[in-house]
Amino acid sequence: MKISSKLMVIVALTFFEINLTLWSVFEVAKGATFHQLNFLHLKYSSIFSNEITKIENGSSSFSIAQLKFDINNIRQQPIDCLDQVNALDRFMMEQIGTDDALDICEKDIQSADRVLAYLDKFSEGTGDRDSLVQELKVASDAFNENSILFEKPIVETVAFIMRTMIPLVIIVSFFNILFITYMSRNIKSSINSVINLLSNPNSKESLDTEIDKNVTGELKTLLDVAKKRVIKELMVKEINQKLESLVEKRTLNLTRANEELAQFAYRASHDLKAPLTSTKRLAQFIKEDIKDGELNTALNDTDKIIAQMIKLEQLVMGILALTEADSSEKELVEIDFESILLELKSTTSELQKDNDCIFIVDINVQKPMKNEKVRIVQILENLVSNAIKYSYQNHEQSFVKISVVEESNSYVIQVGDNGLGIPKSRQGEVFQMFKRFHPNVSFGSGLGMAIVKKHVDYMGGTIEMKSSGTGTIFTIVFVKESVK
Amino acid sequence: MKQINVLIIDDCEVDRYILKRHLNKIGVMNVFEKDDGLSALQFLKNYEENLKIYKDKFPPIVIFLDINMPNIGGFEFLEKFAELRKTLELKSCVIMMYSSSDLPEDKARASSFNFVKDFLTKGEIQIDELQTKIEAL
Repeated sequence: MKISSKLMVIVALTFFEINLTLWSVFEVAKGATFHQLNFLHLKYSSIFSNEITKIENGSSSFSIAQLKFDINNIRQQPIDCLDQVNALDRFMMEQIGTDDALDICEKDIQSADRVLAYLDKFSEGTGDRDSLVQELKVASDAFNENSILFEKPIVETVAFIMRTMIPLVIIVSFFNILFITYMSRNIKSSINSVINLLSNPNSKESLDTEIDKNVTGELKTLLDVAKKRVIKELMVKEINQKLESLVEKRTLNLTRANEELAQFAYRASHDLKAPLTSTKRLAQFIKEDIKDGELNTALNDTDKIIAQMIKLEQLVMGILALTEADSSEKELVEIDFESILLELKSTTSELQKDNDCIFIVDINVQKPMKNEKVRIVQILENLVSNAIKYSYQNHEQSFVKISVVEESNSYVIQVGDNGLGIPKSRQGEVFQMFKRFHPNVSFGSGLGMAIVKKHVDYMGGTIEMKSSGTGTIFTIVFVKESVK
Repeated sequence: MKQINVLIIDDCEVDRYILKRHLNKIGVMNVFEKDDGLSALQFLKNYEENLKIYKDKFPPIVIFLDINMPNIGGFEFLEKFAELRKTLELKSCVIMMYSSSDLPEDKARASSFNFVKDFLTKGEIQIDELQTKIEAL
């Protein structure tokens, strides 16, 4: 049963109880009014009897109008009495056998009407004084008798109401109190069971199933609405949290990018400035040498200036390549590693000769990898030229070995050498910009590995390095799905 | 100009050449060159042997030290040099930082060693200034 229906039953019961009580009070009050009217009836009847006694005693000055006025006064009480009796009263009086009071009223009115009619005739001159007195005495006796007879059924009726209605009101009130108590406990226990369900959910079943099983009516509706609201609030909260973390992540990335950019600007300007200031000094030396006639020294210094300019050129080219690695969006093509490595072997042939380094290639690819050729070429150029430049001259034979292997879900590119290696303490700096580990062996811009890393990152691959005093191996992996 | 022994530790050959030429110009002729901190430390550790070979040209009185170098960089060299001073006769040897870095944190870090006497920025140092600093030692 719904809580609202339970409350409606309580309201209906209370309404019935109040109406019953009010009706009983009105009925008892009506009984008192009837007693009052009967008392008035007796009073006017007494006045009427006195008037008759005066006429009997020979008083000549009696007034027909006065007599009519007295009779009309007497007649008014039964009329008022009958006016106040409704159908329910009549039915009740019939059932308890006190409806003769109503007959008495009617008889009283008829007696009054008859004597009033006789008085009208007497006024018109018909009838004598004795007959009039006789008629008046009959009426007066009837009035008195009616008053006496009227009292008993009224008392009985009021007594019946008192006997039946008061216990009935008490019973209904008592039942109402019991029902209200039961209903309020019932409602409270429904609410408590919902609270228990929410506080200690049974782990065997989901909360939704438990609610469907145990909760009905308005509480179920309330829970459904609350659930929808909570879900909505949680979703909003979750979205806000996601947005916050996204903003935080982006801010962190931007901060890092800014720091990287600031570091890049400092290092780039520093590295660009160094060969320029050296060149300025060397040019001053050349002037002095020429003045002093030291032409050989001047020539040596000129060679140094040329070397500085080559460094500067390499550096600028490196910076350009690094910038391009960030921005260019190139076409995806099938990578022909064999032709790329053949060309690389040819372009680095002088370098190989200078460093007495041999070139070993091992390609095992069934289905060609699709990728940006320019990036792949730059990666291989940097790794291979580093391997050759930093070869270890005391070896029996220096080599650079390039292998490309297609695995089930990836392409693995390895560039290995038996060269100088990278000092263990500085291996963490390999992919940083402007890092050089063997400047006395060969000069580089210090940007090559940063360019390689940027390209690999851009293409969604990974790069790892293993290095020791006996050589270095770079391993690049492009997972097939992630190849852009 | 009094004769003092100098050691230049710098991985850049041109920078070593420029500084050496400046020093020669102001009359400092005993100049050793090392291209990183590791080889410089080894050179100093061979103290007795070098004394025999170079006689009064060893040990150096002034070391010009670069910061960014392979193997052992400038700051690591300073830490190891501080240890070395406890065992070898290098108390009168002072260090002048000679770097293209002009970062305040680098200057502060170098100044924390009491034997670091100056911080020279490559490309900015003038020959007269260098002479004054050497003479003031």
